[in-house]
Amino acid sequence: MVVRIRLSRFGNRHQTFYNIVVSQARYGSPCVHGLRLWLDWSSEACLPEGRQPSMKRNWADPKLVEVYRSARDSKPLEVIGTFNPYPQRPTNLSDEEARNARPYKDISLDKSRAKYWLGVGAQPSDTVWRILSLVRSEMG
Amino acid sequence: MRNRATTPLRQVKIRQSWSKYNLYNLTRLRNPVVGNRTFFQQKWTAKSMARKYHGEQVRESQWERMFSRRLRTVVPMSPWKLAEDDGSGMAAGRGAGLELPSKDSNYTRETPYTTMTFAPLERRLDVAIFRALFASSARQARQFVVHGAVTVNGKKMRYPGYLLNPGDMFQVDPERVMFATGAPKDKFDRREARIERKKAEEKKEAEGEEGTAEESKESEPEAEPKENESEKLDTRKTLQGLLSQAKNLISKDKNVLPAKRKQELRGFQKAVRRVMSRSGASQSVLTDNLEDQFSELMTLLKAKKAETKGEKAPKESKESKKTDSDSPAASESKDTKDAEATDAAASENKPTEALTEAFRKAAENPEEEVDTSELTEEEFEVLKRALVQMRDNPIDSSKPYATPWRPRDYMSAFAFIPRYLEVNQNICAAVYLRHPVARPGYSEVPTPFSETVSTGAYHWYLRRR
Amino acid sequence: MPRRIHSQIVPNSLLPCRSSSSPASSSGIAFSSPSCGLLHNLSYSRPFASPLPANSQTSRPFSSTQTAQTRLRQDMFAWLSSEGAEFKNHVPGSTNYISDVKARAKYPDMVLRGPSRPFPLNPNFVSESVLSEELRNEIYERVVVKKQSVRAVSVEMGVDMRRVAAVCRLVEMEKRWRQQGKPLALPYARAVHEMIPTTPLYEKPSDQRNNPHESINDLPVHRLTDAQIFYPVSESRHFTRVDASRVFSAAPATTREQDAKQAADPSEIVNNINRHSSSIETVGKGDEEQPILQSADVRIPHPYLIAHERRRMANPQEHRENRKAYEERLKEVEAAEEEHKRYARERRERRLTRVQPEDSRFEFRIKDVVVSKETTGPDGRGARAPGRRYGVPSSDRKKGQVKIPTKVEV
Repeated sequence: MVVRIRLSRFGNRHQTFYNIVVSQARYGSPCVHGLRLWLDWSSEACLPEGRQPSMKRNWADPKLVEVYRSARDSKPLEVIGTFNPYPQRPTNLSDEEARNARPYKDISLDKSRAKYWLGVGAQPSDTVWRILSLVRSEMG
Repeated sequence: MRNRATTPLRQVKIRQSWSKYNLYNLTRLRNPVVGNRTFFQQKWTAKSMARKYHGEQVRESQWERMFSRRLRTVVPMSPWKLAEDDGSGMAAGRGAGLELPSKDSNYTRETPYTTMTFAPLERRLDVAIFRALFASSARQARQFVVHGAVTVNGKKMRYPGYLLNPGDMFQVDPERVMFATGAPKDKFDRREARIERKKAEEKKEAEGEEGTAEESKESEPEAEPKENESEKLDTRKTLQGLLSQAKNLISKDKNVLPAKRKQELRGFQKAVRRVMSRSGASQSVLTDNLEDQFSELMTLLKAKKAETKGEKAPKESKESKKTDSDSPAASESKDTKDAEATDAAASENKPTEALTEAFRKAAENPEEEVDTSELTEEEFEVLKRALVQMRDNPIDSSKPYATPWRPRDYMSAFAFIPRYLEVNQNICAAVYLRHPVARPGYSEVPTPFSETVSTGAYHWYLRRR
Repeated sequence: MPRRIHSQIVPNSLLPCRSSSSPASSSGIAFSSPSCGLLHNLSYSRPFASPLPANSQTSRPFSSTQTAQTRLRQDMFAWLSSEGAEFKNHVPGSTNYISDVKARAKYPDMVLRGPSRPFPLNPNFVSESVLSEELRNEIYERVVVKKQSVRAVSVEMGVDMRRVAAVCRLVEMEKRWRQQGKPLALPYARAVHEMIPTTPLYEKPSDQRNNPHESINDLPVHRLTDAQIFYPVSESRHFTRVDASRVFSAAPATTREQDAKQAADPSEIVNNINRHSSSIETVGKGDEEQPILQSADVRIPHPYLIAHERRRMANPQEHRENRKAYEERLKEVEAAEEEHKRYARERRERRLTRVQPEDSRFEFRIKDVVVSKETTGPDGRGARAPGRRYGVPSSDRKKGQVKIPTKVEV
């Protein structure tokens, strides 16, 4: 099944803070042969321990069964970094520098782990894709 | 937090405030009686006394969480002493040191540990503002913070309970500081301000109705009579008048009532304006902009100064040791350009002597007594100082404090700045350098209580930990 | 306040005390009968009695309430108009605290010397002097204009290093304000400097050094030294400060070679430790590992002054050489400090990647972190790993937690 690299939200209201996590895709349609569904799920090794997938039939297309594997903020496979979407004002600057300084956003990332997960086929979400593309040159 | 801190007279409660009630209570404060009281009672009394002063605006539970049994202390070291020996003398003999303890004050004095009990409260922003003499009470400081007049490191800080970190710079709006520390307005001042406000409103309305043309007409006739008037006046005489007025302003006579003082200041201001209008200063100077006025007058003065210097240069040789009565005559002989000028010079010199006499008494500047030729220089100095004072401390009825500004009554009995703050009064900013510490013989936490009280309080709070 | 209002009639036995406390009030009424005395008592019913109680006589003569505080208030106003009048205005150039005024009343023509105490009951708190305007400007001049180091200026002027830095910051700001034409609180500043003691700027640098503003070599009392330790030492052993500090941090005693090295050149060892803080020995294992306590020679803010004093003691005649050696040492220390700062900055920068995309208003600062078994810990909740942790309760709204800002970045 698909492993994704995505953000999971932390912090309080108006103080958003994200962990960059590696986890199972939130939902998908594993139903190719409806009868074999249970087999597929039970053989799923990638789920965090002790967690059962939940199932919901998509009534628009009865053949399709959406499987919720992990909630957005549930325990992921791994946390590989953080992202603070609130721009910070740079500090400790002289007047001249302060005028030209750009506000910055803080990111922390374990590049080697990110590279590993991409290598084994993890799919970054759009936002994470943008974050990763910032460090593309260094990650090679 | 209770919404007020009372200073009753019956029970002596010392507050962080500059009020006269507090001052009176401070003189009446006595150490609590300890004989025939249980230890618990002693601690209770000590703690309740101390808490009425230290952070009465802070809830007890909040303070209990802030309390720390660790008391910060330092020992001032002398490099000379450290170089002298390596400390082996202290361990020599049977371990108590070979010599008797030295008579040095640092070693014989004890460190007042327990007076540091309330040191964590000194970190609070409101208390620090009060300690930096920016507010007349901790409550007022708190209000300044809540009302948004305080910045920490350049950012507005609205929490009075913010705990300052070493290196934090806090700043209070200078207007608020002047209001907090200045004498309040009396009813005449307030009335004046009301009238002024009304006038301004009327003027505004008139402007709105009749436009700008009327305004220009209004201003012109005002300026003209001034000029006519001033043409009659002699330059020297006006200058002389200015000087005497300046002298009055500078002299720090405490008996002079503020109202009278203000009258003088106003007269001086008027005179200055008259002089400038006479000298053909530009229209812009006639406005109330004191900055312009000041610089204009300064340039005028400089010109005058150069003139008089030229006059005085030959004079120096002759009359260096002459008495007061001789000097006009001497100047007469020198200034033979025209009759008018000599007359003026004579009249100028007379107030000069009077001025120096007054000055000598007031300031006791040694320079004057030595050289009489420098008199006019000094005179100009006086005039300049008066002008500076007028510029820096103007009459302005729109301010919320009595103008010209003077410190509020009884402020001096409470004025001290502890060492853990570095304060710049000009911009009303201060830096919290470090946490307060105790050193042998001294403690940096300002507390009106003796060590018995602070020890009791310390043990009270220690009990629960 | 239970005794605020008394409606019962005051017995006559109280009268003498009252009348004695307020001599001015007896002017209007003759004391012939007890009823007159009662009237006299009632006359103080006005809550805000004026300093001259005679005026209050006619305000509300028939009021039947009697306030318990009146006598106290009267005493207070009497005090304010007599002894307390001294406090009303300040005396320029001298302090005006309660103890000062008392001393002045006792010895009128004695010039007060030494620090003055604002609180009569607390001898441990003294009103210490502040930097005068000239001294402040001089410090700023030296540090900012002449580019002297904070350390050197601190030693020369006898001002703590942190204070030197703060003064520079404040004066810089004042200059900017003046430039911008912002209103300053000049009369206030003048009044405050007249009220409190100030440290002047001396003409001669030697005067400045001999009359320092404050102690610049303050040694903070370390927590390890709070405990009293009984440590038996043989009499023949040369037990120094360094040994004592090792005992306090429970480190093994030094070997004889180390002792010899220490005795041979004590300043060099101190120098080394100050330069490379990682070279300090440690005690304990694992999480308990901590550097051993250093002696006062290392921990004071200006340790190189000790070496200077040693040299001066050894060669008291060679003033010039001593001075030169001192300056060299100072320069060395400054260079080492600069190097240390530069190294720390570079290390920080190395871990940080700054990206400024063309199409974005923002800069992105990407910090390198490590996710591994060591950082996350066996349960995956280690604090050193990046990100907010899972399964750890957030108590940020609990009672007792600090919910207001704890720091403000410059």
